[in-house]
Amino acid sequence: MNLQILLENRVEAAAIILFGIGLTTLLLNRNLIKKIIGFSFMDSAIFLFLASEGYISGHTAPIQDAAGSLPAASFINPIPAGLVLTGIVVSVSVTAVMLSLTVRLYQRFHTLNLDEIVQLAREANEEEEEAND
Amino acid sequence: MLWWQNIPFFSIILFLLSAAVCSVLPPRGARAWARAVLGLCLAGGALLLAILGQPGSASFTFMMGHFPAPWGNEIRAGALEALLACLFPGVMLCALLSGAPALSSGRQASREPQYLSLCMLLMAALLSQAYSNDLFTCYVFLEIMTLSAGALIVFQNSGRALAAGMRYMVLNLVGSGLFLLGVVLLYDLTGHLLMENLFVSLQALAATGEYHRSLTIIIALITVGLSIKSALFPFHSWAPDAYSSSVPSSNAILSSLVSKGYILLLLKVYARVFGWDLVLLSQVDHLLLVFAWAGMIFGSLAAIRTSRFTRMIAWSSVAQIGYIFLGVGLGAGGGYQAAVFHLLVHSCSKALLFLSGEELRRSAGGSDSFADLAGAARKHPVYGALWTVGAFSLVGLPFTGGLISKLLLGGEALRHSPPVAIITLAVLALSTLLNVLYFLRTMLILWSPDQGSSRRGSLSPLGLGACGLLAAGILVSFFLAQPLLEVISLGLSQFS
Repeated sequence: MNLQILLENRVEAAAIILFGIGLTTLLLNRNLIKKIIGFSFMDSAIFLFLASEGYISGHTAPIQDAAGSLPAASFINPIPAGLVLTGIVVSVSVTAVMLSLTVRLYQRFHTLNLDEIVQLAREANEEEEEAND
Repeated sequence: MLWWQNIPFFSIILFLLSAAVCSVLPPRGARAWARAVLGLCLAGGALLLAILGQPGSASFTFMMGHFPAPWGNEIRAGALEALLACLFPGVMLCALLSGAPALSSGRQASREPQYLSLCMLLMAALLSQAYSNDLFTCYVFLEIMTLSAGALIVFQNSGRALAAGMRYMVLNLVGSGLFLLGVVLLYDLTGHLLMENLFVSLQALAATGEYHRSLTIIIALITVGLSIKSALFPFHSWAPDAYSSSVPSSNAILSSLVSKGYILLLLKVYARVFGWDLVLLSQVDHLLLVFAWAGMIFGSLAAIRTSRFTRMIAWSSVAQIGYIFLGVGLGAGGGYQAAVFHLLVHSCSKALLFLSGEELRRSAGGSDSFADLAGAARKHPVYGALWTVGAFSLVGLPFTGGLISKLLLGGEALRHSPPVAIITLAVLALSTLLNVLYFLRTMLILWSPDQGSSRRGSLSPLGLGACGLLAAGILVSFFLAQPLLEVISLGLSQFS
């Protein structure tokens, strides 16, 4: 019974597993590039979930023909598709900002390890303050 | 539709447009433009408050585009939204006026228009959190707020600011992801994104007794997501660095506005989407109370331990966010009212502490160490007095709004079960004691007899006026507490 439910909802289950992989990578991996990949995984998993919710088997993309003769009931739900498109725009913007920040951090600290970066930044700050004193 | 009902929509659009305009203007022009737009939107918010804050007035919805609910997008404004539409631009204007000298000098002077552009984007996102009736729109503006706030942290381009910005972004993206997953699951369960429709569907769903576990998971996801973003203990690790690494106006904006936007959204989701009964059923309120109690103590303890002035103010934010979440955790009615009241008081107090504190630091040669700040308030007695007002408010002394928040929180706690009431009162007392300890220590240092040179910096009338306005806000929230609480109560009643 449980297996059948899992099989029926396999896309949703896959999306949640992918979300988990993305979330743990974003949180726990020290490498900045891998963190960004984890973030992309996380967002893509949600888009997969949304897209699968909006899809209705046997129905077509919600594009009306020139005569406007196709019935609304023949289309898939267009709202999740709209949400996914908006989400992709947000996700791409965030990825761009994160990558640009990573480039700046690498130029300054010559490492991609966030723990090392935080440590180096703290040491640099202490040195600067001692110099001021 | 009445003409003034266009104010919320045009405020948001004006800020979005201003973000583009500011980025192409020369520094002086961008500064004047940003101030004018903030002033205009503040006036718009005040007008809305005058109309919607009248006893018995009703909230209104504004249809976006040509599709009515449940298909289209909506904006909604009531007394509480109007109050916040005054607070957000007001505090932002004060932060920009007072922080202007630090922005227009040094290496970053040529980038001031970009900075103002980010502030305008942030304002659009904040107002959208207050007005939007649609959860997905809230998510989009949540990300805009995260990005613009992240850019404000790294604006100074120092190694420390960059590292703090990256930590802020990573943890905030985790929060956004959890929030988005919660929203998507809600859409999956109900087929709605507008708050009213969601509320009706969820009540019907809860009445059937089905999906109880799913609803609990959704409430937990949204709560934890927004708690991470607003730096509630134990998700606060990014906050002290982020709040103390950038230019003073950024520090003030981040700690007094950005975190409040997330808390406001959580309050809206609880009140308008789930309803308090559903939150109680999920027992997430217990989680909030425990985090809030722990945050109030640990934030204060960390503030005592630090030897840096700005970092001490930043740590105190972690404790104060605990106070606001305590109100949310105490629940509908008195708890929400206390949370919103403390949100207002803390916005003014924290901005005042950061901005006047920066002037005191400057008189001590820019040092952040307590040892160098000895006697700083004597060099600048006016700023010293203003800083003291902010500190008094956070401690909760008479004649400041902080006292009213603590009384409201304590009073509301007494209406709960004895264990909750006893722990809340004990934590409130202990946290107040700790607040006294670190603010008193700082005040003694600041007002100690001046041992260094008697160098006095020049006083900027605009900066002084801005800090004065924030201090006036703290005092007004004490003397006009009753009308303010009535407006908050009216706004909260319009939520349901």
